Amino acid sequence: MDPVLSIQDLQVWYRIYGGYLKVVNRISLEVGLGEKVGLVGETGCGKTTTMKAVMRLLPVQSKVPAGRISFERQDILHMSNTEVQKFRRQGIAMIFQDPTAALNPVFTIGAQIEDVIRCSGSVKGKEEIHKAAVSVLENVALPDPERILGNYPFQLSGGMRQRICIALAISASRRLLIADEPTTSLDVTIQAQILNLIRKIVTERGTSLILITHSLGVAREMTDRIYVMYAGTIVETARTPQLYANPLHPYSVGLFRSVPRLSGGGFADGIPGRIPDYLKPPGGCRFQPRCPQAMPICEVEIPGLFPTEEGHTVACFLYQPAGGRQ
Amino acid sequence: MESWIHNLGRSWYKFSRNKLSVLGFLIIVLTILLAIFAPLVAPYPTHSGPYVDLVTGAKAPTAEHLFGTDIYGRDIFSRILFALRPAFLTGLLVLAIVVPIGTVLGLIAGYYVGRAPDTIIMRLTDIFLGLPPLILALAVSSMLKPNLVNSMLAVSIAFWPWYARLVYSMVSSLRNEFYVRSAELVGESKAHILFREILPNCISPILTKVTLDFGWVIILSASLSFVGLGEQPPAPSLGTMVAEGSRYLPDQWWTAVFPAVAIVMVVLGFNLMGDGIRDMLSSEVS
Amino acid sequence: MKLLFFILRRLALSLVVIVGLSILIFVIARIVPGDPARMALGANAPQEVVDRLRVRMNLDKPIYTQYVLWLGGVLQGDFGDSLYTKRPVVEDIAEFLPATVELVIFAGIIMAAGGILLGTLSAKYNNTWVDTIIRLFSYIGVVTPAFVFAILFMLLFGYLWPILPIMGRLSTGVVEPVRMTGMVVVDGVLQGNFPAAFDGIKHMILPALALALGGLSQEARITRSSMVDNLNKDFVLAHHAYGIPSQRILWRYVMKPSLIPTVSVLGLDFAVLFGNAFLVEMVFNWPGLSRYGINVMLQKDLNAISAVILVLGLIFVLTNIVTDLIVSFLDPRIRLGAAKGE
Repeated sequence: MDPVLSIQDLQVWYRIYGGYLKVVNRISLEVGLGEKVGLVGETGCGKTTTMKAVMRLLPVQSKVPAGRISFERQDILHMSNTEVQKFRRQGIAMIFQDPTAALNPVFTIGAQIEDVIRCSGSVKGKEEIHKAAVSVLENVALPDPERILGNYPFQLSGGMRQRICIALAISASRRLLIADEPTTSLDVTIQAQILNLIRKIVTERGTSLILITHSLGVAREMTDRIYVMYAGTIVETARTPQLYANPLHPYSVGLFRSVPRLSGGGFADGIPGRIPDYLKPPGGCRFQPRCPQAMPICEVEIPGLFPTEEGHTVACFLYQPAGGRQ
Repeated sequence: MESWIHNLGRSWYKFSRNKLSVLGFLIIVLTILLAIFAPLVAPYPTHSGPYVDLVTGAKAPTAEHLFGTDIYGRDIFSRILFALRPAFLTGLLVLAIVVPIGTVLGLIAGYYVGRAPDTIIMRLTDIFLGLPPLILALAVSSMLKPNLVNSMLAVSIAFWPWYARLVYSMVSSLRNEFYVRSAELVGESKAHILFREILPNCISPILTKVTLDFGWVIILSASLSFVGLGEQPPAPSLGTMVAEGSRYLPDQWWTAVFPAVAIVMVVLGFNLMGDGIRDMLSSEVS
Repeated sequence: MKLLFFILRRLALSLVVIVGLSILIFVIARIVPGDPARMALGANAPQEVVDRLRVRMNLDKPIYTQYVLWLGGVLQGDFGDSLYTKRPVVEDIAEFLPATVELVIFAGIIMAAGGILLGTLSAKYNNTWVDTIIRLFSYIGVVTPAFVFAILFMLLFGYLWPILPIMGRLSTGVVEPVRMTGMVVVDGVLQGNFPAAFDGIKHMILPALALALGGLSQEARITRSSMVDNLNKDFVLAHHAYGIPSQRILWRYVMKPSLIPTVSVLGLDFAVLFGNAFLVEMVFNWPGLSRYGINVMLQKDLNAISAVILVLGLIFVLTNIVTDLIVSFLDPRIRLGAAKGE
């Protein structure tokens, strides 16, 4: 079956003093129908930028020198503005990292939700739209929807705001939901509730999901398949159980070792070094300066994605099949 | 050393990214040089004072008199060059008075936010801000002898509260930062905390405001002399020249228009430069 | 309830400002070097006449007594007599204030509407030629003093291409409306004298434009920068992501929060119009309070100066209160008493 979303060889650059930041470097990614995909990596590795490119929400000082994004066979990067609007209304919804920033501070929740419903065109009439708004809030398990519709964002708690954002995202039925670190800015106690809500909604509606996270625990609970990202490249992709059982890329291995364990052993190791300079990224593999297993070839050549087992590929020369390069 | 050069290059990049900022910088440098070297550059240096030659009076611009002459036969171009001197002098002196006073008062009020010094200083500031600056300056200068020094005094009285308010608003939020708290815990002196810990963090908005205000001070003092409450004739002053020229509209339009354009150019220069400085000092990456 | 408390607090603070302002004005009016009575009468007046005037102006009493006497009079609407027009200052103000108010309101409307419109267009077409032209225009507008605009307009539209009147409030031959509010246009409309109202508006265009352009440019710049700021906020991305049309996002969702700083500055600039009116009224021979103010200042007419400044101060303080109310209407965080920085 065709994937819902397919990204091929995507590059995104930001213009700054001294040149271009090569933030996303030849990424390829696919999401199937109803599939729940995780995008895992450190802060600043280009996860959000990739998703903004998918939504056509990149800022003006960015450019996309190469790549192709298709959603249900439509070419997203070459859509006209009206086509983009239609596609956003019907195709993909997005939940942002910080619900406080994602809600307009000077409009009531009701005004914002009702407007989204009105613009989606699925419901007509003032009364009907209001009812739809109430039912959307009920869907995200918010108590006393009538009161909340009259509130401003600053009058609600962080968890409630994120529920509102989810409500906004699902207020029109869409085929793919992108959740960009939806729980990072929330209290630990609220995080599980929000994740459960997202999973429930996605499962019930058969919507595909891309979950951006830096938490391996969250990714394991929520996803079927995971892409591990490092410094603007995909370094490893596998089905979730495969990856947790057998992480292959040295970066993935380091990532798993960084997780503090509850059962003794003190603090985790972490990965020495830091994310490379995007202005002048290292030659060859971008992880090579921090890699404990780096080889001479890593400094010169960029590794391709080598398959190791069914559904598991790694961008690392350690796993290059014997007998030559691809 | 290398990082110093790098920082300078980076600052200049941020400043010059907007070509208009560079234009402003050039305008200011050029006009300051013209003002300093007015006696050398001006074609008719003697026309800056009480010079009368009715034969060449009220002549339209020619190659000989670039901007024409006024009814007394004085070369407008030369007079504009000499009038730049009191204009820049006013800007310099007024800001030299106003910035330290306003900053210190704002620092004290902001540091003691919610307590007696805050209330006293900021209510006093509010009172001075209870009148538009031009009206306050007019009121003060109308009571004094009309001359350059008194008009500077009047402009200063209208300007200090804006610095007090600017610094106050920054300091009252900065004073709860950890580095201020820890300096207090260590037992540093109040003067050290105010001037070494807090003040350096307020410098960039103050610097931006100073550049912009240079232009506003020049406008305000030109306005005073425009109504006759500033520098008195025959000394050259841009505001007075515009006012005198406006009496002979439309026939001798050049007597009013060129000094007016000079005011606009100088203020434009400071504004463009102020925006460049703001870009330069802002930390946002883009 | 919170709103009421907010307004009361605001009024109390304004009262402090007004009382302080009256003291400030009084002090300014007494720092004159030399004898105000002598100055009013001229160097040739006999000493006993001067002395009599000193007693009448209470100049023989200690300064705080003078203040109390002056303030007592002011509270009863008695600012004393003008030495310049030789009649009660209150009458002068009643005669000249409406002309200034009419002009300033007209200029204020031009300033607010034009500034917000240009700023929005500039933000919408950020970094295109439209933006460049508007920014250039507003740069020039901001840096050009009102009196320069006044003179340029007079030259251009009064003489060079004479399409608009440049002197006074009404053309000769137009029947002047009976004085009710003192505002020609308002009186004209109220009395059905539309030719006068129309002529009044025509006379206001140039002085009002000269007054308004500075503030208008300022408003355009502030609207632009706060809109560009807000356009980069996450909530705008979110609105886009929900598929709301970009026009609607701009004019509704970005406009409202962006107007908050604009309105704050608008209030300030509205009061500044009264200040600049001093210069513009002089150029256009507009018979308003500001031209009167300049004349009394040049004459060192203490009673009249104090009165004019106090009236303008009151208007300024009032404008600030109204501005705060509008801002609190636009910003629910202020209206509903949320902590700042939420």
